[in-house]
Amino acid sequence: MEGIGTEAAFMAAAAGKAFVTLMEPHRLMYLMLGCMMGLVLGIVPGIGGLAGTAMLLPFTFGMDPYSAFALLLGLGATTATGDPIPAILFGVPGGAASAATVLDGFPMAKRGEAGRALSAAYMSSMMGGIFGAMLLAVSIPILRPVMLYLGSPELLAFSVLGISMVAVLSGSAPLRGVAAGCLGIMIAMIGSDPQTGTLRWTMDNLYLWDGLPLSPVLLGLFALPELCDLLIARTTISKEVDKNNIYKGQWQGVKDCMDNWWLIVRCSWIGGGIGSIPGISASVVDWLAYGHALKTEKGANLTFGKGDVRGVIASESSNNAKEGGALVPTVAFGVPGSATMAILLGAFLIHGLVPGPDMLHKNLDITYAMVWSVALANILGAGACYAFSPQFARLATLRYTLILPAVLSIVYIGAFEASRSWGDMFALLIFGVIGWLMKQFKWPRPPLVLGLVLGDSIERYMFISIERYGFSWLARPVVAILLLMAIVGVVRPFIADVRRQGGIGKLLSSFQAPTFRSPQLFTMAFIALIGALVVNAMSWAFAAKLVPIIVGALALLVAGISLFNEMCRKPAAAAGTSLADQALAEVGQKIHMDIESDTGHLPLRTIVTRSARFFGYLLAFMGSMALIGLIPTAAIFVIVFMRLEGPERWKLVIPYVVVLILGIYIAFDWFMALPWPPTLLGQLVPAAKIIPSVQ
Amino acid sequence: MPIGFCVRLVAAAVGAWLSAAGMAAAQDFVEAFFKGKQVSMVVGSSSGGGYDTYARLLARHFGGAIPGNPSVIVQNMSGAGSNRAAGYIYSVAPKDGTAIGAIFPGAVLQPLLSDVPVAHDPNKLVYLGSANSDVYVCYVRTDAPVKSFKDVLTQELIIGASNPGATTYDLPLLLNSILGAKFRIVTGYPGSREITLALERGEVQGACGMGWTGIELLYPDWFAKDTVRVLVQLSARGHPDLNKRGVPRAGEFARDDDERRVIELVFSQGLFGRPFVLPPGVPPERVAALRQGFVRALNDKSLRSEAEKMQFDVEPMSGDDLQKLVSDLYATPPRLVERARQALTPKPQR
Repeated sequence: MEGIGTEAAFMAAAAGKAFVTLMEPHRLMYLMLGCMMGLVLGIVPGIGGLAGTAMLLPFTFGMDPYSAFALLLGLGATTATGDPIPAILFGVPGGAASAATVLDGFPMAKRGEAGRALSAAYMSSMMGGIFGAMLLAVSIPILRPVMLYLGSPELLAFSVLGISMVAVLSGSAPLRGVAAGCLGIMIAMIGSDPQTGTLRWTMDNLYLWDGLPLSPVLLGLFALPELCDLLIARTTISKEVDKNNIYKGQWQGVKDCMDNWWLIVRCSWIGGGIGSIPGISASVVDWLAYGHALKTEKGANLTFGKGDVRGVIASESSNNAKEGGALVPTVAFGVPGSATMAILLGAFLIHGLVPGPDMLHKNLDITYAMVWSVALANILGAGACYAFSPQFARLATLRYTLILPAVLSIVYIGAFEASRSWGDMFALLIFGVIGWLMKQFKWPRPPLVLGLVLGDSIERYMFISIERYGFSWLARPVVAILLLMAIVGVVRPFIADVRRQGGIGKLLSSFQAPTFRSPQLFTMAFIALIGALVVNAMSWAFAAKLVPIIVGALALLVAGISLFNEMCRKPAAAAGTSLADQALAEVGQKIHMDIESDTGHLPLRTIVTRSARFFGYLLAFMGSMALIGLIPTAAIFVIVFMRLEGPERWKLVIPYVVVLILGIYIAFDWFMALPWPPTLLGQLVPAAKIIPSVQ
Repeated sequence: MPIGFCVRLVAAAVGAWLSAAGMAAAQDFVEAFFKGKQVSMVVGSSSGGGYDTYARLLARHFGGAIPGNPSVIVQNMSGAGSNRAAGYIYSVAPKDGTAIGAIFPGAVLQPLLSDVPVAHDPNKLVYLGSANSDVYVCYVRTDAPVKSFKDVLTQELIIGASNPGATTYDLPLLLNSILGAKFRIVTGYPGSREITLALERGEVQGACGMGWTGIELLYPDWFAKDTVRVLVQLSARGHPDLNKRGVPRAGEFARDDDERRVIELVFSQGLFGRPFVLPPGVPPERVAALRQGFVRALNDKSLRSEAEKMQFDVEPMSGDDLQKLVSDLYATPPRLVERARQALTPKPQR
């Protein structure tokens, strides 16, 4: 007992010392400087603070460790703070961990509640960051033993539990959800296989060796469909324009957070907990928290995805706590929990610190200084965004001809930044089309992301567990509990579903002879795609094809049942004739777990021609990029778009282009020094290489 | 003194003068070329990793060591174990000396030893040199039944590895195939740090193909407290410290000369830990200037003191030496290359 007492006193002393040290003005200044840079860098979709942190590193050599970590963590912790802004206002996830924010934040913005959504996002970010830091601060002494207890089988079980959230995140379309999740896992298998080195589905392309990078896929899946629908609908995002409303909304957002403080606590702990597990990607914490809220919050399954503020709160409170959690494996084991933390690890050595037990004893005050730095950075960053959120909220009331060109240009460059390759552009376009079709045909997209992110770790840790332990690992208590939870999580909603439909007997009797409708083409295309992938995989080495084929077979099975269901299910008795009514009838009482398309009022012909126009712009953008380089293309695209779609006045177009292009040039050519791909112009006229991005 | 000798002496003197003048002129041309230019250093890993940090360290000091003092900027182009960056340097980047690649040793050696398609020919790249070298080792927890490398030849040892193509997988596999070692390779850990963590929690008993300098730095306690022990060095020459401690080199366990040559062929990637390359076709006088600048920058006092702070070790190998090493590697008799290839082919373990 006494041991615990002294331990606690030692911890408190270290925590106090760290706090006092950090509070010295020059260190606070570094922290704020880091935050400012983080906010600026983070506001561009697809770009994290990674490059910024890497560039900042040399400047910290001369500092004391407290200041150095304040600066680096200030930057690292706030780069994601700007993410909810594009997520809520335009439906464009600013970063991997803000994708779930789109689901409820964007519908809120459409309803004219952008101010409330932003305010709730920032208030919950702030609170989430603080709760996460508190959890971390208290649990420091047990971190190392706990982490040492978690072996590969446990990591596998965590990943499985994570992926079982597919059941929740599929909403009213469980079959399609599972199929989408399987597709996600299969996409995660692209690249060099960790067991045998087989190049899986890489089509002899170096770009696909390491697998698809996450950000072009996410931007394609979530950002492009929203932007496309904006062009189809040809409106502003938000219908209402009322200044008072925005300020009232801001206050309402704060109240929402206070009312849901317990949800924030839980979600921030989910974020911090998952962030702290070494070897599992934390880029799906937003979905896990979102799924958790969906499962546990009252009435959530009726309102989530339609602009429920709790969806925003769950997602944002979890992802802000993640970075604090990522400190744990970095500090305690030298295994960086995120890319930013990998840079931090470099900084450790420069300051003579060795990650490991010492950081939790001898250098405990430095560890605490890091925890406080992250917490303070969250408060400062979210606070700054909160203060400005009314200004941001007004963006949602702008015409689509003003929003689209800038956002689309930045989405393009943001995707290109992922691996600086043409492959990123193609990935963006392909997943843009897939995402848009999924949205139109009501296939939930979240399961795909979940599969994509967790698929890799499931495969890795499954092979490690079996190779190392045979099957005895299944009996390890934590593994057994987690797997059981996963099974219950999947089976329970399924049983409830069957029961609601009147039991299996009734379900089976409600079929009729097949009828064909055009949306089934998408399901058929899906089956064909998976089939082709599976056939392609047949020739691989056993260890390389095992998971892809099992998952592929499952996908074929569920997609097949889904297709059968679509073709042979008797239409519900009282269904109306309009598309919306039909969709409603299909969905029944449960929600469709994705953003609803709000282009339903338009005739199909208009939708098809306008979406063709949208993807035509994208193709033209890429063609022009191959000819004259990315930056000149962005300029031309903006001008053409604004003149053709608006037409906007030249007086507006010119300053708009100048500011946007200058910004892009400074950020990407000058600061990030992106290696641009070769262009035809540069090959023909080498002198033209003087133009930025022409190679 | 015979007249012939005098003539030759004069001729030699004139020749020397001419070539010195020529070199000076070339130097001027090089200086004029690089003045005000921007040299990009394309790093084959993403920002923030060890490779990137090291390249940035060099980039900060490199410009000052090149005639004309160009500015040197770092561009990250990660992917395919730096094969993407190597392919970019090989065929896309300008061939005038303004693009330098910082690639992994694997991108130099792997095309020789595997069938994986790459877009560059390592033997045709122009090498600026390597910034350091490393000695790969196998190590084992002291509580494991295996105590020495000899034991591994008779007794199974569970080790962690990341994936085929990585040294943590390839090198133990090589020892299994060539020397008959009994490493049970548990594959799939995302990286060397995760392997180390698995070792700490006892999930694996050891690891193979890790660079000695990094381990010594990050886990000083292991060896001081004797919780982890180095089994064998995977290097032809070995590391002075480890040699002093009497840690054997894997080559000593070879049963014939071929076996030794095959394993040393694969180990050779440790000799050039951080290779820097130019595309083929860069004018020779610029290559010479860049090679000189490379060594000068790495021996520069301020770089050394920064490196010491960052705990990076610097051990430059000149471009000429590396170029020769690579062409020697690519001139290895086909039967040995074939044997190495066979040995490195992943096979089902049970």
